[in-house]
Formats: sequence, structure tokens, C-alpha cells
Amino acid sequence: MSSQKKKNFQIEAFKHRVVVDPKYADRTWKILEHAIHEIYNHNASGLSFEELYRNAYNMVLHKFGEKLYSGLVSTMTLHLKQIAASVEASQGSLFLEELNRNWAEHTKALQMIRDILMYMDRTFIPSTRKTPVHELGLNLWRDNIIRASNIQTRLKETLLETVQKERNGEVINRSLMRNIVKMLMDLGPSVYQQDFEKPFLDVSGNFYRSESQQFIECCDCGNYLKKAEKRLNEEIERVSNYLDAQSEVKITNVVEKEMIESQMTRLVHMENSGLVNMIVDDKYDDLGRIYNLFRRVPNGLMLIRDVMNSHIRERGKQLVTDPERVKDPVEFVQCLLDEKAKHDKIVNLAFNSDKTFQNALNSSFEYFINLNVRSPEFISLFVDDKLRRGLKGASEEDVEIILDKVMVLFRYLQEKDVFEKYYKQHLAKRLLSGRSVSEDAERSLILKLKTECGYQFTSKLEGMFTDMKTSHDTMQGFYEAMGRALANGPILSVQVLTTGSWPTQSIPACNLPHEILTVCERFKTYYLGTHNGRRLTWQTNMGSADIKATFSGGKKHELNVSTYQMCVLMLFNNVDQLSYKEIEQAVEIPTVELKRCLQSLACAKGKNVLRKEPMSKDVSENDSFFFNESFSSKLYKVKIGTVAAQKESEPEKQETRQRVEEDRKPQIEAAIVRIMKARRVLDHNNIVAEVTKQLQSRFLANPIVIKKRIESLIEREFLERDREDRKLYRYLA
Amino acid sequence: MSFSKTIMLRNYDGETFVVDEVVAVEPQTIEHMIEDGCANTSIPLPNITSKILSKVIEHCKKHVETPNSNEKDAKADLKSFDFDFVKADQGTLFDLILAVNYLNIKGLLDLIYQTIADMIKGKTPEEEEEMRRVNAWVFSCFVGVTCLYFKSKKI
Repeated sequence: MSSQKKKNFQIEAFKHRVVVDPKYADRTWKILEHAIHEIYNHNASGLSFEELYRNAYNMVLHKFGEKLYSGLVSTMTLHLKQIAASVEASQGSLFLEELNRNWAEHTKALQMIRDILMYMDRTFIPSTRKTPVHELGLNLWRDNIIRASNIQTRLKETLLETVQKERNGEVINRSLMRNIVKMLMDLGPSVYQQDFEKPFLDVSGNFYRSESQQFIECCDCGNYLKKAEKRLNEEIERVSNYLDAQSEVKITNVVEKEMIESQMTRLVHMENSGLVNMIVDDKYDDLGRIYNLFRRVPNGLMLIRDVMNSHIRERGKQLVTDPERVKDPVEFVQCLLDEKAKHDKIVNLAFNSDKTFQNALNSSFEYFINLNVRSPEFISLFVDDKLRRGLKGASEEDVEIILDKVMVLFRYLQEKDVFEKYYKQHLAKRLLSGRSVSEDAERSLILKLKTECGYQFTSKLEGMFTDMKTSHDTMQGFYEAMGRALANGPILSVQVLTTGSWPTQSIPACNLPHEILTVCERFKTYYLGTHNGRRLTWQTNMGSADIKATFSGGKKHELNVSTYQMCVLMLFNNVDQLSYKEIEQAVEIPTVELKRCLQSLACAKGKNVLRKEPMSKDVSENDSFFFNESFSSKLYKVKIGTVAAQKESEPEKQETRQRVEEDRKPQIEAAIVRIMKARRVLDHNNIVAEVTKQLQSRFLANPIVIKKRIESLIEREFLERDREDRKLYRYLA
Repeated sequence: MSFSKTIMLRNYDGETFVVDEVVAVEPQTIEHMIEDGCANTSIPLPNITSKILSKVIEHCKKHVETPNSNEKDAKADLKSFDFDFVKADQGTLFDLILAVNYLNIKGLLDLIYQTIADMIKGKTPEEEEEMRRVNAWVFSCFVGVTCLYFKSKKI
């Protein structure tokens, strides 16, 4: 660029002549030819731009454009051949440098030449559709240098060698590489692709193929992945630094294919370090890495998901069928919650909270939780434990957290109606014994169940709460009304339970002690006086009592016992010893209950207010019982009642299951009728499918049972079979 | 106080014109000459007369000094200037074409071509023939270029 010099004032006279003779064209061309030589020989400073421009302008103007153009081509080609020879002759590492230097000079020269010949570029070339000067310069370079037979191969090999050196850890001249690559791109993307990119990708493929073989033999899964990730990042960095951006996707595909896709299965199943081990040991980094690498290859994530799924299902199956675990329901459920939490954390931390993985997790849990038919019962017991004492002193938030986690497990249950049955039983016991930690927590859980399953599911449960409240008010009214008359008698607290809502069994009442009976009758009269058309039955199997007992040495204790236990103990007010048979006759309690009752009074350590002979763990019908004078306890109030909910015994379990099955029959029938009423005519398979779908939220309907119900409905003339097609049913209005 | 760089242009008659660099680079040809380092002393323009060169410089100056805004005033001002500028006789106009073509000043080139196109549009075939004869040389040289121009501007 011109410097800030003071300009001289010069006045010169010039003659302007317009001549058309052919010798003129030759002379003019000679001037320009000379100029081009000088430019290539770095002697441009001696030239006058304006003069050259004017000469070119005149040639074109006088229709010698063709001569000018072809002259340009041959002159440039001449120089380029010289350059090619010089580049070929360069030794070893100087090859690229020579090439790069000459390229830089050529581009500079080209620009100058183009500026001088600008007029031709603007006018002659478009009208004759020839290649413009700049592009011409590039093409000539490409054909005479890059594609020269001695240079083409050598260039490719040198470039690939350099990349390989860098992959082996050597430091290379990156800016030189960048310039050469840019040169190839300037010559046209196809030049870059043919002369460099394609061989680059091939060689890289081979390199990574053998490297992956090497690594897989000597590395464990975690380390292999680290190496693969490192190589991948290296390649990306290489492209951004000195290759063309279009190569990024192509080279990463190569690395992904050779290092990841081809070894995918082997990595995942690697002993002691594969996917399963990572999951079991909570290796979040490794898991995150495997997720990020595998998502780049087709089916990578699917492989991870499948392996994870089968692992969880296997593990879960072991958990729920392990006889040791099954002994403690609360522990059992806690284990499930822990498993869920652990795997949730893995999906969230390492797998990017990927929805497909969350779904896979859910389906696996649903699968194995339902493998154990007692899962609904156990979950209810877990909740019972928490609501009776586990959540004591916990903040509202903590309560919500635990209940929400339980709801997650609840959703997995296929037999939700079984859960409902047990939940009702356990809730009843909690309410009646006043053992619930917080009514708010109870209500919160019921609300969650209602949101999940609908009003029907929880209406009876809510009824139970209502009964408790109403009974409280009733008792207040009772004592206000009776007041004086009951001052000296036992204090009664009655809960009036609406039959449909509570899990009651119709067991006949036992024989209550006289004092109790009196006040009970009084209540009955009072209640029936204020409520018409109702019938009350005492549920002696569900009550409890607090009695004051005096032992030897004047020691007094308050005993909290069940109603049955109270009846038995009151017998000892009159005598000190009773045989089993005598007791049985007096109280009329069913055998199983009686045995359990006596067991808890005589055989439990620290609570043996009775003595049994002979001393043994179980109660037999030949035993005798004595009032235990020497009973002692540190506490004044002693709890002996067996009111807490427990895991059911075998026979009890069978009974509950039977009742659940019985309850399902009408539900199935109702569903069948609903469907047939809407569809009028339907074939067997479709009915079964529809019924199953409708009842899915409560339980999994058994096709055999459905079939039986259909037949029963046919008998009762709700449906009929089609005369021709035995598989078709019709609704009878 | 800042120096604005100036360029000297010498024309056919030997006269020199001192011009601000910013104005001088409006013609692309001159811009290239400066870039390629040929403007140390002054730039010779032997095939342009004083009359034409001064008109060209005047036009370049005006366009450089007018700020490149979308204001209606500035645009209207420029438009009226251009309108007056081409109110010259045919001879001058054709000399202008040659100079502007040589110097490669796009804006001015478009303006003049449009003017000539308008002139031709209005003429009968006889008048057109007359125009051609008088300016035969110009037409013969520029036929290719002007055809291209006319084609692209779709008169």
C-alpha cells in the first residue's frame, strides 16, 4: 500500500492514440507477457499498473481478447510447470513447506494479474463464457501442481503420515497443515474430498479398527470407553483446528463405528466390568460415559436398555422370591423402595433422565413386583407401619415424600383390589386402636389413592373416617344424657361402624363381663332411641380395654388389652385358676382367637399376667391358667393387646384371597354388561379383551373367570349366544 | 486535525487533479491501482480529457459526501443531482461512457446506460440509425456490453 509520502506535482504530456493494426496486438501482448513474468519473479514493483491495465483494455477493445486470454493461459502454465519441478525436487519435510510457500505466492500473483486484466474479466469473459481469471488461476494450479503425477501421491501420503504422527502423540506443524488443507478447499470441495478426505477416512478406519482390537484385549470396559472417548475428542479437535468442518461428522462416524459399534456387545457383557457391574456398583461416571458414547451409534442405547432391563428383572425376581426377605414385610417394601431409588438415581445422573430408560425401569419393576402375590399385602403393611409409628415426629414434607414413593410402588401393582382389601383391614385396626400417628398423613394418602384410582376406590375408606368422627360426637351426647347414672361404672367408648365401609366379619359376640354388658345395653338403648330403623351388633373381636390390676405387694398396673383378653382376665376376679376348657365355656370365643389370646397373656415375656401349666410356647386344650401374682413391669401402663396388624397366616391369607376373588365376580359381570349394552353384538375374544382393559386399573382379569361369568349371565338371560356362530354373543335388553 | 489522503490524477491533456483518496477509490480501477501499489507518484489516465475527468470527479465527490442514509431528503437530493448530471449533449454522454467504462464506476455506469436506454426508447428507427452513425465507434465497441446491460435491465 502506498505510504504517507508527500506527492510531487508533475505535469506530463501524453499522446493518446487508437491504432488497430495486428502488430499492435503482438506488441501489446509482449508487454503484458513480460509483466506476468516479472510478477512471478517478484519484480512487480517496477511495473506501472495503469499502463498494463490500459494495454489490456485496448487489446480487448480492439477485439484481441482471444489472443490475450490464450496468452495468459500459456504463460501461467509455463510458470506453474516450473513451480511443479521445484516442489517435486524438495526433500522430505520441506515438501509441504515448499508447496505452501509457492501457493501463497501464486495467489498473490494471481490477484495482481486479475486486477490488471480486470477489463477482460468484466467484459470479454462473460460474453464468451470463458473461465474468469481467478478461477482459471486455481484450475491451472490444480491441474499442473496438485494433480501432477509426482506430486499428487506424495502430497496425499505426506498429509496422512502427518496425521498419523499426531495420533501417535508427536507434535506436528498444525498451521502448515491448516494452510495446505485450506488450499485444497480453495481449489474446490471435490479436490479436498478426493485428494485428502477420502483416503484420510479409509486410513483412519483401518487405524481405529486395529486399535480397538488392541484395546479390547487388554482393557476393562471402563478404561476402554475412556480411551474411545479420548480418541473421539481428539478427532473432533483435529477437524476444528486444521481440517474442513465437513469432515467432522465423517471422521466421528468412523471412530464410532470402529471403536464403539463393533465392540458394543462385547463391552456391555464384559465380565467384572461390564454394564451390570457398573449399575450394581453405582459407577455414575462410567455409566454416563457409556450412555454418551452408545447414543452415537445405531441401537447402542437399545442394547444398554435391554441389558439393564433383564438385570433389574432378574435382581427384582430374586428379591421378591427370597424366603428370608419375605419374612419381614416392612423390610421387603423398604428394599423395593431402595432399589427404585438407586436405579432412578442412575437414570437421572448418568442417563440424562432419558424417558425411554425411565419407561424401561417402570416396566421392569411392574414385572417383578407382581411376581410375588403378597406384594399388595406387604405394601399395605409397610404403610401401616409408617402410619402407626414410623412417621412419628416427621415433618409434613418428609411424610409427603414417603407417601409419594409408596404411591409409585402402588402404581406397579396389577392387583390393586387386593391392596384395597388389606389397606381397609389395616386402616380399621389403626383407627379403632387410636394408633395412627397423624390423621393428616392418613387423609393425605387417601387423597393420593383417590387421585390415582378414582372416587370409588376411596369412598368407603373416607366413610371409615366419618364413622369415627360421628361416633365421637355420639359418645359425647351419650354421656351428657346419661351422666349421673354411669358415674360409677366402667367408662365406655363406642365406635359405631357402618357395615359396608368396614372390614367386619360376622363372628358372634363373645360373653362380656356383667359390668360391661350393662353399660353396653344402656348405650344401645340410647342410640336406637335417636336413630330409627338401625341394628347394632357388638364386634367383640375388634375392641380393646384398659383395666387396672393389682398384683402381689400392692403393685398396681394399668393393662391395655383386647376385648377378648379382658373377658378372660375378668374371669380371674373370682378364681385364681382356670382350665382351658372352663375358660372357653365361659367366654365363648372362637378357638383360634382364644388360643392366640391366651398365648399373649401367658406366654409372652414381660407381659405374662397369667401363668400357664405346663410351661410351653403354645396353648393346648389341656392347659391350666393361673393369675400371675408376681407379675412385674417397669412401666405402670402395660400394653398386651394383639391389635397391631401383622402378616397374615396361611389360612388367613387363603381366606382373604377367596374373598377378593368373590368380589371380582360382580365387577367382571358389571363390565361385561356395560360393554354388551354399548356394542349389542360382540365375539368372545373381543369381550375378553375389552373387559380386561376396563378392569386393568384394579386387577388383571382371568380369561377363564370371564368365560364363566359370561355363561352365568347367559343363564340369567342377560346375554344369548348366536344361533349360527357359537363365539358370538348378543345383548338381551 | 487529520490528514485526509489525497491522490493525484493526470489526464490526457496533462492536467493534474488532486482528489481525496476516499473519492478517488470510487472508480474500481483506481482502487486496484492503489492496492497494487502503483499510486506513489500520481496516476496517469491518458485516455480521458479534462472535461470528462472533472465531470467524473464531481459525480464521485457528490456521492461520497452524501451520507448513505435512507432519509428522503438525501435520496431526493441525490436524484436531482443525477438528473441534472446527465442533461448533456450526446457527444459528452458517449465520451462519459468510455471513461466510466474504463474506470469501472458502477453507479455512474448504470446511470448513463439508463439514460441512453431512455434516449433510444423514445426514438423512431430512422432517428436510431442516425444516432448509430454519429457514434459508430462507440456503438461498435460497446454493442456486446450494452446488449448485456439492456438484457439485464429489461427495457
